[in-house]
Amino acid sequence: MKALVVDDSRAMRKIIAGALRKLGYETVEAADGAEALKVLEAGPLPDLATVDWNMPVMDGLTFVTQVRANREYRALTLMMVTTEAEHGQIVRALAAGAHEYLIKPFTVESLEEKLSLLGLLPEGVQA
Amino acid sequence: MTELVEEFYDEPTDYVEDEALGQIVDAMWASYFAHTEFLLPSFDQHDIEGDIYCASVTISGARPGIVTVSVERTLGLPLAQSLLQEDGELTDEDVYDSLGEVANIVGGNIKALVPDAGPLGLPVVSTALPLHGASDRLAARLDANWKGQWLTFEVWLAGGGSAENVGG
Amino acid sequence: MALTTTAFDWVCTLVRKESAIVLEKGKEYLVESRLVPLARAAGATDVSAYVDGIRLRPDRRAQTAIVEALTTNETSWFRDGAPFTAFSTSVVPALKQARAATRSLRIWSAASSTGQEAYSLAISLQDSLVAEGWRAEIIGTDLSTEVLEKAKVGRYSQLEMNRGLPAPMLVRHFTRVGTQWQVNDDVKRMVRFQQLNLTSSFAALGQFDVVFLRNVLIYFDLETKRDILSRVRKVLKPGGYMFLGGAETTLGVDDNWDRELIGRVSVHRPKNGGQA
Repeated sequence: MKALVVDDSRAMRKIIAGALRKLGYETVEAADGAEALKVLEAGPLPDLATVDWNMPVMDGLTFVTQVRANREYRALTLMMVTTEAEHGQIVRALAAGAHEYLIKPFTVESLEEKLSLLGLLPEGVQA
Repeated sequence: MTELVEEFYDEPTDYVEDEALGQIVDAMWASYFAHTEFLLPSFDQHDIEGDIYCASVTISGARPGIVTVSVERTLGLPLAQSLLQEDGELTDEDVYDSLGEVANIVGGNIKALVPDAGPLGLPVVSTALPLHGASDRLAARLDANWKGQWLTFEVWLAGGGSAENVGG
Repeated sequence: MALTTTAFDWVCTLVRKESAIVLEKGKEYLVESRLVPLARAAGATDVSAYVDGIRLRPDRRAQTAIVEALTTNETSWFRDGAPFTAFSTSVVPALKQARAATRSLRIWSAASSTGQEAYSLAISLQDSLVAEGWRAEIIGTDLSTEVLEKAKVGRYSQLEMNRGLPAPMLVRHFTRVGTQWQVNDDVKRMVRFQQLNLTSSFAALGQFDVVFLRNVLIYFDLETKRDILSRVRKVLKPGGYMFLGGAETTLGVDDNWDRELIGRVSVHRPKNGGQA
């Protein structure tokens, strides 16, 4: 399985990508929404993208909206991983087409459990 | 919108208190720094003397404000090493990035407590404390010790009646 | 300092010996994060120092606390996912036919801890049966009055909310209150919590269509397990279901159960349809 990790913080990208690689994922990283769209255009399509909300150039909500508007990216599962923690913001992200939402700070355990809910936990790994 | 908010909140900083800030910082430490020494909160204020790093994020909206994380300069590298789980040499960029992400995480969770908040700003890291608007009030503060050195978390929110003229 | 290999290995051996649960390599973060509260309460400087202290000067009570911290499931919502999927996609539809006359279900969360399992079941049923006019009641029981108090309030921290609760369910069934999230009244009304020791009588509980008895039998000896399972059979309505934890079985403990496989999840049903 392959994951695209989108976050403007290198430290956060490393935390998320590191946790995913331990689960058996191959990972690619992008520092904002525009860079992430370029990764998708270059292909191949990953199984999962974790998406931060507040980023320079293109924010995560715009990225999610653009991905959902493109039929070629239908198979991509989108999970917001962000410090935006209001009820209304979660509603907005889901309405834009995000499949799951994980609020920072999060533990590696909770990341695994979200993947399990999405059916994206690789075989042989127990949440 | 501002009048509406004031009807519900006599004291403009009531919705962010020390306890909430403490819970947020505690959750962050448990999530990303569990493998390190504990962060020990202090009941007393410990103003950091000497050189500092200060990471901050602004909160916009009806009650704008700023959330800051200040640390002794020498604490920047070990904090970044812990967050990144890398023992080796790190660049200044890595240190700024790590401190910025800490401010971002605390700031986003603080923003969720502020009524009618707008977008969160991107983190800014500097070697000086940010300036506050004259009417800003300290809504919450947490002093904590880690590896024998001090960190200060602060939440400043615009005071009553002057919500428009506050920046970060 | 990160958790040392020696400390991690020692904890793994202890947990395997006491609970038969195997912590794989790579779960160092789990050991660290779960043991932080214990280590901090003990006044240690970090988790490794805490573990080393107990390793070098064995302390029975601390060892038990470590095993419990690493084996209890108090913080997760749709824990493991699969049992809840089996519940809502197979068990509930079957019961919907079997109980069409009464249009009512009763479910027991038998080690409810702080309430996540009971509320998860209520949310599942709220989104399916209750919307169609059925009545559903969930009874959560636990030994500890402390966790029951928290369960009754139904208020959870951000970190607790992150644990296996699907985001669409969070936005539909919870409201933010300060740094915490409160379960909404329509879900809360479906759930009742009461104190119960599993070794004492279940008579006051009434009858159930489904019993969730997950990851709790591991704390009892074989005789007590057998006794509990036989008494669970008596409170299950005919055609009822029991869910155990992923590593648990009735085999060799109480053989009066049939096992049905739903996907990769085992559900247990009393032999011959149960009591008449």
